[in-house]
Amino acid sequence: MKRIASRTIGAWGVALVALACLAPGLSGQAAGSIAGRVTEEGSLRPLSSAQVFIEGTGIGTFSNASGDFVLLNVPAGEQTVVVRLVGYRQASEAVTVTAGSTATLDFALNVTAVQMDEIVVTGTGVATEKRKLGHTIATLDAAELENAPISDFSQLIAGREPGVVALPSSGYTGEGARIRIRGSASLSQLNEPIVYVDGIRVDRSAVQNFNGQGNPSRLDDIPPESIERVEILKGAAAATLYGTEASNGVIQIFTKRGTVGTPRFTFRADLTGISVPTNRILPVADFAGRACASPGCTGDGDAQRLADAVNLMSSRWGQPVSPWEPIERDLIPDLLTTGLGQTYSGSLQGGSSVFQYFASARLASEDGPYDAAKNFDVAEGLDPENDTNRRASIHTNFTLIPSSDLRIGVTTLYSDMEHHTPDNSNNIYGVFSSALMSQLRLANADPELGQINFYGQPAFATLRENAYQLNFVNSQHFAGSTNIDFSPSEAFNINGTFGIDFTSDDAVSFRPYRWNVDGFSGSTPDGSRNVQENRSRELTADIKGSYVFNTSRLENTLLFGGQGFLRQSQSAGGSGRDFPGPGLETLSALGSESSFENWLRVTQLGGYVQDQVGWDNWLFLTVGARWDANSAFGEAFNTAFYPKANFAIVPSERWDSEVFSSMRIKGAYGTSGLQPGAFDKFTTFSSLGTEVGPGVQPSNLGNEQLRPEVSTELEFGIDLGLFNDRWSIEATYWDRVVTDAMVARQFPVTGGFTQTQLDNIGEVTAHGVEFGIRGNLIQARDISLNVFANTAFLSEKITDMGGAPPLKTGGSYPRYRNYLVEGFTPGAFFGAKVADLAIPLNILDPVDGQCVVPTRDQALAYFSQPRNPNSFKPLAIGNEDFGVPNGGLASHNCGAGLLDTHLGDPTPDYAGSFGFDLAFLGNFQLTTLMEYKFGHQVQDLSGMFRRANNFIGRNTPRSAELYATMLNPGSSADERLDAAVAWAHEVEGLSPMSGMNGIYDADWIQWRELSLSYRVPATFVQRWGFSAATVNMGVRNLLLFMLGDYPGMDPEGNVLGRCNGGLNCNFLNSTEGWGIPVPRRFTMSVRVTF
Amino acid sequence: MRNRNLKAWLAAPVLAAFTLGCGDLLDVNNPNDLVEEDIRQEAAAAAVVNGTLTLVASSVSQSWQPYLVASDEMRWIGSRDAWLSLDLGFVDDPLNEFIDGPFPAMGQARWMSDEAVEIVQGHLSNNPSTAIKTDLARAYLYSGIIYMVIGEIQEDFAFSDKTESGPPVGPANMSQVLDGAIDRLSSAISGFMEVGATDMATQARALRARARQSRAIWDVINPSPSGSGLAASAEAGADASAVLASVQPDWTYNLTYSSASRSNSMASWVNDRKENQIDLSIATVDDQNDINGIALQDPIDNVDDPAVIKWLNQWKGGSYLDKGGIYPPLTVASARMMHLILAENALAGGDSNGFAMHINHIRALDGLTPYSGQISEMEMLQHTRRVNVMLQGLRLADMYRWGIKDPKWQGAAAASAAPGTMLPISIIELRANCHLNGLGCGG
Repeated sequence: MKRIASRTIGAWGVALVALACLAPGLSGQAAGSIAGRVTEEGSLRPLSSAQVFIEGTGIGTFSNASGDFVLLNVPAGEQTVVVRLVGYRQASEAVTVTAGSTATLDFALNVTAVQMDEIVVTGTGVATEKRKLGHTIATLDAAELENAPISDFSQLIAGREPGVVALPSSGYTGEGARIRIRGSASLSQLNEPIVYVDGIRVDRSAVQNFNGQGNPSRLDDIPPESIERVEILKGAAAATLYGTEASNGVIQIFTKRGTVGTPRFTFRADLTGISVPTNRILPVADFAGRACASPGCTGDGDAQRLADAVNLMSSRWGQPVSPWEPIERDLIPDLLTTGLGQTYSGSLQGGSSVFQYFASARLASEDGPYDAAKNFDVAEGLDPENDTNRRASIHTNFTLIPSSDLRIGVTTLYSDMEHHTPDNSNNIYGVFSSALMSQLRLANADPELGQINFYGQPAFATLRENAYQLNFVNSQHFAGSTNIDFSPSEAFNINGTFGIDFTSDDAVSFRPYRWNVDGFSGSTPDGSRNVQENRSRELTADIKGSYVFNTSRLENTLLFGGQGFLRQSQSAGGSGRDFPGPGLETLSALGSESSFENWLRVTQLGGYVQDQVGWDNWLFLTVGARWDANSAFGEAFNTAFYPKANFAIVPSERWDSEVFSSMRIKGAYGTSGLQPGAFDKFTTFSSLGTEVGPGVQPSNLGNEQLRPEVSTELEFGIDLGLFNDRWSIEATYWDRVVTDAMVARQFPVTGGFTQTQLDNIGEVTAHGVEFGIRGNLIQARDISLNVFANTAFLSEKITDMGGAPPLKTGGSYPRYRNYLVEGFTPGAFFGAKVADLAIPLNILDPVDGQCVVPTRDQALAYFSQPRNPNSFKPLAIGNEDFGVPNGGLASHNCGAGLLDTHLGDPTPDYAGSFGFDLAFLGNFQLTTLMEYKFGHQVQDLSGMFRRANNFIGRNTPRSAELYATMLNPGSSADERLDAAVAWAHEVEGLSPMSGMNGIYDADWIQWRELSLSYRVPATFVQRWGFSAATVNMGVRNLLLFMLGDYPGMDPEGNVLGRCNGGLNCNFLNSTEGWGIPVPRRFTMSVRVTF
Repeated sequence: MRNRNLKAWLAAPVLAAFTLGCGDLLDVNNPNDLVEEDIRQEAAAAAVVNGTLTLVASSVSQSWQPYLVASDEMRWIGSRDAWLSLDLGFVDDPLNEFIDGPFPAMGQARWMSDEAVEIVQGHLSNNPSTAIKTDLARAYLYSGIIYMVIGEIQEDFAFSDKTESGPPVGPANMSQVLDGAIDRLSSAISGFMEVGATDMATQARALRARARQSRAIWDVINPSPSGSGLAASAEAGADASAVLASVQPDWTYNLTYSSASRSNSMASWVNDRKENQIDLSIATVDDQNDINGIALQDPIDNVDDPAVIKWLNQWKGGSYLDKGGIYPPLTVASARMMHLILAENALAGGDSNGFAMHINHIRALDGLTPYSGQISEMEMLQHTRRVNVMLQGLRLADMYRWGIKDPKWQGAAAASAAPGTMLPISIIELRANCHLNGLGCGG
């Protein structure tokens, strides 16, 4: 696979060089040129990436890091040069160009915080100024983020736009984040936005390894250096023209294009150090008295067991050990080191008025902070797994303009990735998880016995054995598109985009022969292998026409078009166990194996029409509709219809005020949908292997009535520009109702079909407010300070489940506590909660099934002897129904409604960011971004195990202390009782008290980005033949400020990473489990242009 | 210019044609699965019955696990403490994940077995061939097995059909499920006999013997254990005698597992994951919780009980000292079981000679000293049954009827406080079944 990738890269490289040589020849019609510099008014700071073009021609370029630009081949005569840059007022100036000479023209741009004049195309069909739109559309300009410490798209999009959140799950290298826009519009379908690149639909899936965490994102196949801008539609009001599948918003990525001019090379190198913050990871604690069979060590053989445990602990950990005094060790940092990442990227762009080109290549390699193997002698013939990620990508963009009415663009993007991750997540064979579950009293490193159980794993496998399990994915991604834009007249335009997006990945989970090097694990000691190959191909055809009709006061744009998407995916794989000997690594070498293959195809065809009317450039009205047919709709349903309407009023066009310098009032209504899965409508029986020949089993219940769920969204907002647009305030209120929501309904399992079945029976409502303020605080020579802050309020509620029973994430697995329950936020936490009693202990037999509260005397009598917490449980709040207390008490053997207490919501009420951008001393720039989430709860799942589990836990300092007190024969009854009460309030959890003492307020602020860049003076870099050079130092995830009482390692952690659908993928949120905390990343980069 | 505009306007119908002319693209078939009419074709009859076998075998391997952990045959040694609740005797908790987890498989296996009977029965009138008759008999056999297991281990159950909720049988009526098992196994026997499949008829007869005795046991422990705990059934005895007359001395009928079908779920939990282990009263373990010796001794010869060794060896796929795999068979009927049925009938009828004869048939298989009154007959029966039907889904009922308590059981747990309590309808069914979720089935 590496050889193929290398050859491909080589071929592309040759093509790029050829194009670079060809380009000057193509641009040989110059009559004169214009050169100049773009700076910021006031601070005189050079501005890079400003778009500089000559009005009415195809001639344009971008300013470099020194702010310099050159326009070549400019026809002689008077020309108007226009400069645009996000964050600045557009400027234009006339200049006379003389043949054979260079005219000089400098621009000083005024800062503007108002973005109403920005041109957008996503959701509008044609290029439109934001001011004309009644709905929200967010834009991210990649040029603004050039110096930010980001290495992939997931980081690029995180924390920048209110209502758009990126959800990481762990700190494993190469992991992509889940993306949510305005929460979750669907109860059953994937709640990720759909993604377009240059007009074609691209794969948005996770590249899944065989574990829950560490999954890369397909979106990260797109190199940040290739991105020019990103447009984001946040919901149905804006995304109506995208029809079915657009309920969760649309992200469109526009890649960089060629510009007229001589070839311009850019090279960038990044060196990154990656370090995991371990300050929130509690040490492992244990005491020798746990080794006894009975509390207090009074049982048969307990004296010997206790003596053995004392000897083993003192020998292994090198310190005196007393039977009932816990000792502590910081084991987790042993598994970590400082990771290293390197990224090299280069681009070439240029062209003539006829042909423009952009080509870039990128190679990113990262060896993450996980390094468990450093603690062990490597077993012969076995290689421990690492967390590494290598990506190579190539992007080209060609534009051919054969005539003034025809433009043809061709874009290609290719990415090749190799990704390794150790076994992880909620997994007893996970390396990190097994370390967290260490039991110091069981550890043994006696050389006489070999490195047996170095960390004291109580079950399943030793940590060293787990380190030898391999998990890797190789993946390729190609996206290619052609865009033909034909304007037979000034008024009429036809635009067609045709493309293909192809992805392929091969995931392997592999245990080599005799991977259980310590002889501990009983699981497939002779090895096993799981292989899964996924191929996906999506074709896009998008043809649209527009007709513009203008009078002196009226402008009218009619848009109509049709779209077709054909997605086909196949997956095949196999698994098996028991290699006959060492060195074998293929499925066919296994003693027993099984295989599978799946295929699906979804076709969507749609048409749309829209008309936008503008009056005097201050009043705008847009109406439109979309029709969709989809192969996934049930036989009883034909097409879906999605209407839209919006208005924008720009009253500031009618006044002239420096204080209220601009204003837009907007409102929008729109609908869009989400389709069912490809084959959800069918009642099916799947194949089933048997001992006596082929067999079948019930699979999908089927529903011929299935139709798309419909999201209807209303939006109202105001955009204000203050103080000559140096400050802006944007506020938007939105309200969404999803009707016909598809609920994955559980029918009686005794009816034969155990899977849930989609049914259009639900309703989900949501509303929110998005607020942003940005402005220029200081603007003076050599110093400029811009600040920003934004927040998004989100409230979601399931208003109707159609009579379906509540759905729980994780099926029967009780530790996952996220539910879909009518009347509550999707994914709300439910579980047991300890009752507010002085002695909330269930130590007395129930009376008539009801729990009995002990008196203190009764409790002291119970604790007059050593007690194991296994022998009693807390008294919890009883419930009538989900979230409805019944006034009684409940425990594992009394009362009712033990697990039905509402414990919190995983979705933050408020999420947003704030920060500043400081330019100083001419060449320095300091930027920072703080991201926050307030008003939500997080489940500390791995902490619950560590605190409460009898075999693999009770190893936090606090739980070990309480546990020792209760077991210690030397404790008094009072001491034991106090410890037991504290145990009930702090420690007890897991089954049968699932959720108890595990879900906490988790408000946090993360110092997400800090970077300092220095632009090397032009006079200096030109000595080396460069036109510009920038040196940058950045830190990502610098510091976490916990404001809630959450005791876990990382409130951003989640047991499940980026994923591809299903209840867990959507709603198993804010449940931290056994992941590496999101690491700090220290990056130094150099960027040169020549 | 006018000409260009004309071309442009002509393009509009092309757009419309593009959008509307692709209707065929919307007809997408699903090649991964069969639809309902496919499985009702005669050609699919064998596949329907084969699938039933795997579902039944898989369900048994899943459903027995909580039953065994609640009894004194297994114990918890792993990470998921819902097993601890079972270990402590909380056998009646519908929220317990290990009661809830296997329940859907049991529901599916039951439904599929009845569906298989109905489908193949439908083919019989058109094609009364040997193949169809055999498939029908097999469908009855597998259906009989799952009905029998449900009757043996469940406190209650419901019989739904796809989206239609079925009412619960009710704890007082669960004997009807065992009666249903007996009826199905009777149909299997006659079906196999009709086509000359005598070996399979014997298997069905052995299972009917077991089901008939379980029916008698049910009467002993419901509504609560009563009497001597002996469960005699002349019909079970007749079946057992007939079976013993036609099989090898140490014959077994096993549900089998392999990579071709599914793994044995219990073995995955015990041998692979090491979440549970054989109880310490049966086998000893080392520091890694691997079995390193036999704890349960033969009460007469005071040696490691050979029957325990036999079943543990089978469980581990070789030697009980191995770590074992995930495909060991599960024995559901055996010659030893038939002798035990006859021995218990004899003891209940006061036939000491008959009792000793059958006990000694079993002891002879293991080379043990014949029983001749060294311990009481009841002690002999209880021990012989414990070691010879070990890991076969019968122990908890035996403990109940003989008043045996696992030392791990807590006093407040149902197994202690209400002997006879079996596994409940689990939460997934309680919430989804309109007869059980309190929402009613109207409308």
